[in-house]
Amino acid sequence: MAQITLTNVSKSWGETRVLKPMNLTIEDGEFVAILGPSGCGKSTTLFLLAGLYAPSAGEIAFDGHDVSRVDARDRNVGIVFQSYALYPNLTVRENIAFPLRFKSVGKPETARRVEEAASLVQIGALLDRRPSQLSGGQQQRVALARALVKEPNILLLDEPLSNLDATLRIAMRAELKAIQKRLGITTLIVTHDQIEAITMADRIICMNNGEIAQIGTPDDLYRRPNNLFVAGFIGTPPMNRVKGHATGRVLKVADESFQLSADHSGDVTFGLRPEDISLVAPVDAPLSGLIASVEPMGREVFYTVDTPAGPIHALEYGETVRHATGASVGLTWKPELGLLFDATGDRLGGLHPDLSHSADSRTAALQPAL
Amino acid sequence: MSQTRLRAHRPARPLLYLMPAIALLAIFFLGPILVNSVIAFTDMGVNLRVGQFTLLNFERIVQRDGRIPMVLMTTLIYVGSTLFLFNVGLGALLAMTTTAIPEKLGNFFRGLWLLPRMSPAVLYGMLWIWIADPTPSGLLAQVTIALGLPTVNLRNDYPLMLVVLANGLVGASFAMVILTSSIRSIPAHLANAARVDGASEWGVLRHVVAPALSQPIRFITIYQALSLMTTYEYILLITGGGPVYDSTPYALYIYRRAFENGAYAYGAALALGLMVIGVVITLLQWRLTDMRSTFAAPKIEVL
Ligand SMILES: Nc1ncnc2c1ncn2[C@@H]1O[C@H](COP(=O)(O)OP(=O)(O)O)[C@@H](O)[C@H]1O
Ligand SMILES: [Mg+2]
Repeated sequence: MAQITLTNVSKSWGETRVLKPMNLTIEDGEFVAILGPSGCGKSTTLFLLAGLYAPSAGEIAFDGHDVSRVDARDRNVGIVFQSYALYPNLTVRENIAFPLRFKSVGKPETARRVEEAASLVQIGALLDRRPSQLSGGQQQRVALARALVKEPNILLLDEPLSNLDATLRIAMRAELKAIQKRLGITTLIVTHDQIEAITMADRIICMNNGEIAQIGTPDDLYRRPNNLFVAGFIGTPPMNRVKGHATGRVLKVADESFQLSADHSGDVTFGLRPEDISLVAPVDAPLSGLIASVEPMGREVFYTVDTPAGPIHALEYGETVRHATGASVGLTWKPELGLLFDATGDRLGGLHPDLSHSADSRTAALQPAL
Repeated sequence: MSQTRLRAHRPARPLLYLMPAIALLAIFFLGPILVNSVIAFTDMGVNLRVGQFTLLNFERIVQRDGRIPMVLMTTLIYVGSTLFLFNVGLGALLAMTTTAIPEKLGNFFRGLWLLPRMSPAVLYGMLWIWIADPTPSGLLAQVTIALGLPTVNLRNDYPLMLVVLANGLVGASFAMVILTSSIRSIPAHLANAARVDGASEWGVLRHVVAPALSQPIRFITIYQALSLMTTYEYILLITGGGPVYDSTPYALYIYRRAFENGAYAYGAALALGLMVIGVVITLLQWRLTDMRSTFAAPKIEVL
């Protein structure tokens, strides 16, 4: 078990900078997900921790000891690769026992630990097969057992579930989380799937373009995204984002005007999650429009509403379709759920458009005096 | 609506498609074997006339030809050392080292090793004769003179070593090319997995690279053993099989008996012997190394 600290760690391949200087601390026993789109540097971060890549600058420390120049084989980390990377010429048993060859572990002890790791991931019956005779899910379990058998200080998982089918993925999510909690091992999981990150991790490191966009609990990232990237990346369907302009206490979005809770000036983006929108009668709603499409999705219904501010998506829970295509509806929401981001994409904390004044400001907008 | 008729799957006619290959094999492979087998049972000489059908040639191989044991020994040393030291050993070493260094440099070195294979055999032979020439113009002689060492006459004193070297340096490139692609096809993260699991770079070589090379090495061994047993062009060019018969392996011995001594029928009988040896070795290796397991099922279905 170990605490991990990264201080100004960066990585370049020749001229291209893949990771910008990165600072972060992961507590002992924590389960952290690295989430981000493909190519943003998630695997690179993981391989830096494993010692497979050397950082171009900065320091990586385990429990306060600098390990930046320590070889992978001396770091005592377990890793599950996206491709599983099982040794094709060895049986499952030999694969799992492989890391113990390099430690002074006797034969009976090796056999015991292999059995133990195998039963932990429920592959006790497959020990004499070769990797080529296993399904993807079984290979993934073997890779996990091989990573766990040496009782590593840190467990690193590189998109371990991405090659599994949907049902298995959901089952493995719960299982992985249970194993991690049981062993209390500091774990980093790389994923591009936000559901995976949200359901499994204590904290999420959201990455974009080789830098950390935000670190926080799943709720932080969902409710209090630091910037437009996180706001747009987390949540399906994604947050509605509408461009507007703020002058003093007035926010103008398309032809609508809203009162702001505090002063701000400049171009802004207004963000609102589809599930936070209620569809009501057009009268007195801060925004209204015509329903452009209706998609019943089982538990919920997904509406697209054409408004003066552009198309807005709204989710309504329940199976019944209450509005038909072409119907005129009003959109309303709890004012504090509407988020504002400045021109650079950073969230303006504590600033929301107020709805109660909207009726006045709308009439005001019709009279160009204001 | 157009009238599309669904035609049931009809098996193709394999014989028809295989005909060109079968014809080529028959004319250039089976035909010569047949002709050779017939000649082996005659007394044919340079005049190409058949006087009688006889078993005398075989009796001569087994009982009367005193050079045969030595020729077999020479063949064993020549094939064995060229094969294991160079065609497999050096080839594997080159593949491993040229894939471990930066890619451009690796490609350059591999290109260099392929050069002798691309140059005409006569030129390559001449090069070695110049290297081994004991007069002051020879390359080796110049080196030994500069160092104040006694001159050696490689072609006279170490003819077998010379032909092993000359053949091996060309032969290594075959394994180098095949094994390079085998090393390249190892999944990148397999070596990383081994490193994280505690293996040193030697451990990676032993546990990840070596297992991936074992199958292609079996194939290279069988293929190169047969090819070394049956070819002799560099030996003929560099030492001519001499002095006397000192660097004459079996294949060259057949040539010398048949074309230097004009004993065509005897040469044919010797050649038949070589064929038997080749088949026996192939079958043995097939059995011992489980070659069948390396064959993949066909990707298209014809029958
Ligand atoms: N060995 C390498 N050499 C050069 N560029 C690399 C190398 N490995 C990764 N990269 C680049 O670094 C970026 C991040 O890669 P990676 O960490 O694998 O992304 P992710 O895992 O988030 O999909 C990519 O643009 C990739 O092309
Ligand atoms: Mg990746």
